Amino acid sequence: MKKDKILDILGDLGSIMPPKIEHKPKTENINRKQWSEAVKAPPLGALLEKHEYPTGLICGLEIRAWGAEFDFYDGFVWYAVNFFNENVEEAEYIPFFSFTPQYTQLNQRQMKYYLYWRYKFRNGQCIKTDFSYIMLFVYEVLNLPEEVLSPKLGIKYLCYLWARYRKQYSQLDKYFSEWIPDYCLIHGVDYPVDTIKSFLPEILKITTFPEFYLNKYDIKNAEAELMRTSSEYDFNNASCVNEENREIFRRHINMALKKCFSNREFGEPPVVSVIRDSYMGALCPYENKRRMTVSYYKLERAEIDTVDATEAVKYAESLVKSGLGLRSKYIKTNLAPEIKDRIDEYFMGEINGFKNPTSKLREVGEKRYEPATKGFSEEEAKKIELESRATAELIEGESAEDNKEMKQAAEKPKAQKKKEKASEKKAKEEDENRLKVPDSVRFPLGFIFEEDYLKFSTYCTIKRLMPEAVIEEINYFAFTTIGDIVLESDGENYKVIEEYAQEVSQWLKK
Amino acid sequence: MAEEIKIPRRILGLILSSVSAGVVPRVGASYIAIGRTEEIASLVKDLDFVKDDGGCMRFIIGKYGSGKSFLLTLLRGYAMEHGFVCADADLSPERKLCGTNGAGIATYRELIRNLSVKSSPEGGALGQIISKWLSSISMELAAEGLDPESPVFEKAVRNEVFSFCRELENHVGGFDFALVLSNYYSATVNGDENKKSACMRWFRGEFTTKTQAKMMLNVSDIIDDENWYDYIKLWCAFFKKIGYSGFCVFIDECVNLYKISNRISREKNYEKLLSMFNDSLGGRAPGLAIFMGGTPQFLEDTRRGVYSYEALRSRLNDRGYAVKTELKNFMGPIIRLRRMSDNELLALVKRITILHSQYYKEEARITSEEMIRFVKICSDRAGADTLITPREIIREYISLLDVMLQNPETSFKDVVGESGEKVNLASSEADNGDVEFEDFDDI
Repeated sequence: MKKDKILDILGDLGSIMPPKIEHKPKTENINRKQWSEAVKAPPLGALLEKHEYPTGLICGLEIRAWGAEFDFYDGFVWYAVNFFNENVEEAEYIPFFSFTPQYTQLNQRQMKYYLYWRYKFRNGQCIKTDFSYIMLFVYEVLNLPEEVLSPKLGIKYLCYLWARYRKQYSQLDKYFSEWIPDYCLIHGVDYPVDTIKSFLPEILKITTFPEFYLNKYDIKNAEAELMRTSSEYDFNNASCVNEENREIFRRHINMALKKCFSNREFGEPPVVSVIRDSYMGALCPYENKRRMTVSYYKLERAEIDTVDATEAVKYAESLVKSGLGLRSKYIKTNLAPEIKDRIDEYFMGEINGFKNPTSKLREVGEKRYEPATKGFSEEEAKKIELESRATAELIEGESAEDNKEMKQAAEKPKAQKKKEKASEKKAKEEDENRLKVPDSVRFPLGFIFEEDYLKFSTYCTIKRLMPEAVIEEINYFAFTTIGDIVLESDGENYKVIEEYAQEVSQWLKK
Repeated sequence: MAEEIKIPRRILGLILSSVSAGVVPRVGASYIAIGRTEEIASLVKDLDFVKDDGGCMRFIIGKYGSGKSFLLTLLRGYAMEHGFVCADADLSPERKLCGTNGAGIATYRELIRNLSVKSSPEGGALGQIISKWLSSISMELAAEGLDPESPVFEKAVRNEVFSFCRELENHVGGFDFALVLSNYYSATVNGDENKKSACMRWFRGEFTTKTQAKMMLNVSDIIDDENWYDYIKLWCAFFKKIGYSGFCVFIDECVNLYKISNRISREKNYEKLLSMFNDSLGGRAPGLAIFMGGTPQFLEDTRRGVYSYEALRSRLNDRGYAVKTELKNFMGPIIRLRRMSDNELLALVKRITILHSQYYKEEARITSEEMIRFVKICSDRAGADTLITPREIIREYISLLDVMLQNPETSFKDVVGESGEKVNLASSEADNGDVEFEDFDDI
């Protein structure tokens, strides 16, 4: 057989895959007669279980046996148990179609492929199959006794199967949205939220029992969650929503919607008791079929216009973003003024308590850019000024050292200052006299000063020096002497900067 | 005059004209440097380490107007003073670290164009550096007794260039680099200006095709978007070898990386940043110091900033003691700049007064109380804590001094008004739609 073609319907679902199971060697077949004798159906209509739940939307549950016998599906469970560990061989895909798929309808090659596909699926690989193969497997899971297939694994199989094949077989939504609650209630297990959360809003729209899926929420949140299904926009897909803030977005958008669209101002929703017949439309022998009475808080199914709901979700999302300090582009809204006012009203009330989980850290972060002190103090400013001169000294080297001396001088009495100034002047003159301009600077600088570039060029050629190197040497000398360069290029030639013409002419005299 | 600062007159003029136009002066920034003592001390230590064949990379992070560019310029001044070759560039939509259509090479070109050393502090030092080095080789050979007029002299210089550059050959592009250097020498000796100019074009990364480079210089590679950073490392090695203390690269306005809208392109830029970080701190680029200036959201935004790139976030994230306790830490790769305090602003205003008086040789008619009043007027403006920066204050203050100088009959009160209503700060009138302000709201 060719390499298995793995269907990639929903992308990577690795994290929600059911646990892989090893294929066990086939056990000995159970005799059908012995099976019939061993498995006893509960008395017709008998009360099998009764539960009361203190939290959640579902308050109570009664499970009764089915009230009448029927024999259309006799033997299905026997086959399912016998085939549970049937030997598997690699098989080629063979199409199969049946309105109510059963083992007896499969020919040998179809049986072989079903077992192969089932083996692959149980190990997390979804290879090519038909809707009828899928339904046969579903009936198998729904009907197998708990001793053969644990309900915890059973619900994982069902949800994973649903998630993997619902894009290919959209009719699965209709069946699974009802059978999953039945299976969970009968066997007392929870559905794996992660596996179906990506399409839960779609399920809430079509199921007759959304309260089951929203059972983990409190009433307010559950109701708003249900309202949000009217919106075509899912905030979960927004780039600004991450695991850290998803819950904040969900809570505030839901509450804002509730504020907008709820007709019930006060009190809890009414508790209703509904009779549910299990696995409606599925192959299910009467021994496994149940009649359940479920009491739950019936959530408000508001008649919300899709356009309004979509706009409201987007508008609420933008307000949450703004509250979290994230950039919000959705400023304009086409919402009806009364709806917009209600959302605004909700956020006005909430804004004080509206905190980003990282806001505290952010506040601390902001402080790192704030000034260390505030207010004016001349003394402090003077101190800063002095410190800054020390920094300048560090950066500028010698020239700043002179400034430091200058600063100290400025602080001395005037008479003393005058005296010192005079002696400084004298010393400066002496310094200047002592300043020796090297020939390697004086000659070329003289040529440039006189703008005799031919002589300058000849000088460079004779000395085997590059003109740029000579300019560099002159400027380096100037920089260390007066703290600035004296030659600047005008695009064609270097010229002495006008401000330093006097200094340069003095150097040339020396 | 009460007090004077020893400063070359041309530089004084440049400082006043730059700050009155609201830009950081390229030379003489230290004369108006106030505060930042610890930050500078820390950065100076880095440069000392780089001088000893180390490497460093620092991010100067601060809000709009906190003095990032100023600090970078200040540091550049220090580096030049201490024998480093410096290159600086501002990033922009056209200049990135990595990008198609020449956005990467445009940054390299800007860096090389602004190459500066002590004797050429305003940029354009490339020619001087190379010429100085080639001249020193010539002089050494001449000193060894080789006749500069003899035909073997040029060959000897060329051999010397190659043997010098041989050690650079383990760097990417080292061979071609040596070849171009040698071509430059020959062109200078032979007076071939076209070839000399072609060599400079190659160094500046201005050749767009390899064919063109092959034809003009007989080299097989060119500097382009892909390899420009390798050439920065090569330049660094070269500068170290010819006797400079090291190579400092200053890249400002890094917020432009944050503003790249395409995620893939943005991440490529952060990848380049990561390789720079790894090279400089991992000892692969001895003598290279990289300083980058940017706003907090360039660094900290987890969606589009540097922190959105996990490899960099894990290297730079300082969410430890320094964040939780607000204690300062200048030893990490990030230096966060606080806004200037009121007293620092006052000290700055005083310094500007001294410089203004010195330049115009006329003492400014303004008292200490009036200076305090002026700073107070500015900082009491609505939104001053976020909108008004030292840049605006100094611009306005210089304009006040200019007016008072030209109108001797007016007093401080006449110019600023009874309650300071005539002080006209640009930012307080700015449209709130200013992109940069919006960005800060995002942090």
